[in-house]
Amino acid sequence: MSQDSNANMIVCHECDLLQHADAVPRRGSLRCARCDAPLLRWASDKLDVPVALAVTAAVSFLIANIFPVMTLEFQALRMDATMVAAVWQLHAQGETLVGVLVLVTSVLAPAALIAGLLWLLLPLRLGFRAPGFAPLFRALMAISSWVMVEVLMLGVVVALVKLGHMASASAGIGLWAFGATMLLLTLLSSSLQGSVIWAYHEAVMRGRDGQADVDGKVVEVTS
Amino acid sequence: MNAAGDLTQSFPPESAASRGLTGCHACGQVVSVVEHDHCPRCGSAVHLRKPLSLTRCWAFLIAALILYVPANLLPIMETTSLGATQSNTIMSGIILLWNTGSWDLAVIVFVASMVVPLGKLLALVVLLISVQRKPLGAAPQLSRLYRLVELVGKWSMLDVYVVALLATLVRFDAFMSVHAGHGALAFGAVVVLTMLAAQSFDPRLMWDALQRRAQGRA
Repeated sequence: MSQDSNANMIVCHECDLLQHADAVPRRGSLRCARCDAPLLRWASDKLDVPVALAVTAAVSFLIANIFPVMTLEFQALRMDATMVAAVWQLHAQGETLVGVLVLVTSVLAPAALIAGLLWLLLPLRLGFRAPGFAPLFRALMAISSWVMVEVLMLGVVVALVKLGHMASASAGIGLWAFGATMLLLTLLSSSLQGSVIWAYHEAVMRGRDGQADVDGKVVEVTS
Repeated sequence: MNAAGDLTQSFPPESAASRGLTGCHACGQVVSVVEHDHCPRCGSAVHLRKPLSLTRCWAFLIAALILYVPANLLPIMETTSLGATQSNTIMSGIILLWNTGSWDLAVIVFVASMVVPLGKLLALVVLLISVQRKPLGAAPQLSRLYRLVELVGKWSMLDVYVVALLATLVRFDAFMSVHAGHGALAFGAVVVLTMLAAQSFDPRLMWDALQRRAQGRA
């Protein structure tokens, strides 16, 4: 069975039904004929929007980690909390493992996801393949389920309410930047489809073999 | 072709596995496992079914069940105010929120910290029994249950973040301070373990079992 005969086939990751991959309706999605699992979402076959979103997410995530997410004022005292400070405080209180959990899910995993996507997408958009492409792609797929920025947002809201009863707690710039990052990551995941990444990848590799696409631009890629 | 036949005859005829094909779990490429043990496109190891899916799922699940006890009994947070220390478990924190008038947030935290972890543990047991013994529901419903488990899993981290933030902000020495408790560690571990359990579970096994049963009856 050659690779080409599988080109228009798709396998449901939840029920293993082998089916024909119909064209995804514009702004719609494709679901499994048997178990209704979402198989493919519509996504533009250009990388411009995902690249722009990833760059913006990188900036907002940087801001989110430099400025405090929350500030607590009590009489003349003032306490700021960034996520890194929270991790450090957990470590200082002897709950290092909880700190590691917070660090991974709210700082490291999102940072790795954003940086990794930029590493993959920017060169692809410019017409070449980044080193370590395939291993990084696999790593990003594994990391993505451990990004919990949206849960952190809700956590800050709960903390604000809990502290509101005893002192003046306020949201900081970091919180708004976290919110922006959350929004951008959501938009990014809905505007980016793995198959588009691989279609670009294939076009770039073909271009390098000297068979097509000599002007360095990758256009008209069908996913 | 003989090797492929031996490999795949145990799978229902509608499945990709019965033809020796699988969808790469990382990039979605349809790959023949007879010809490849790694995806030719992205290099992931390819298997017809997740290796040791049920064993790994049970192992993570049992570990999560055990840690669920200290997660709920140990304090996740200790508040020291003017020398007096008050310990809060997850449930007492929710009750405190409710009593201070924030009933809406109390409901959200209750769902994230009590309903979701417990529901996830139960749902995974239902899914595992459905594969190994007898189906406790129709396959589409079980599929939907699995999707739900994957979707809501991470929201239980809510309380861990709240504790981390309070412990960082409330540090006014003798007047008032908040310390994270060991309950937070156990609770965080439950969240991670149930997520790993859900990731280990292979939903395709439910459909395999269902069709094998249907064939046996026919």
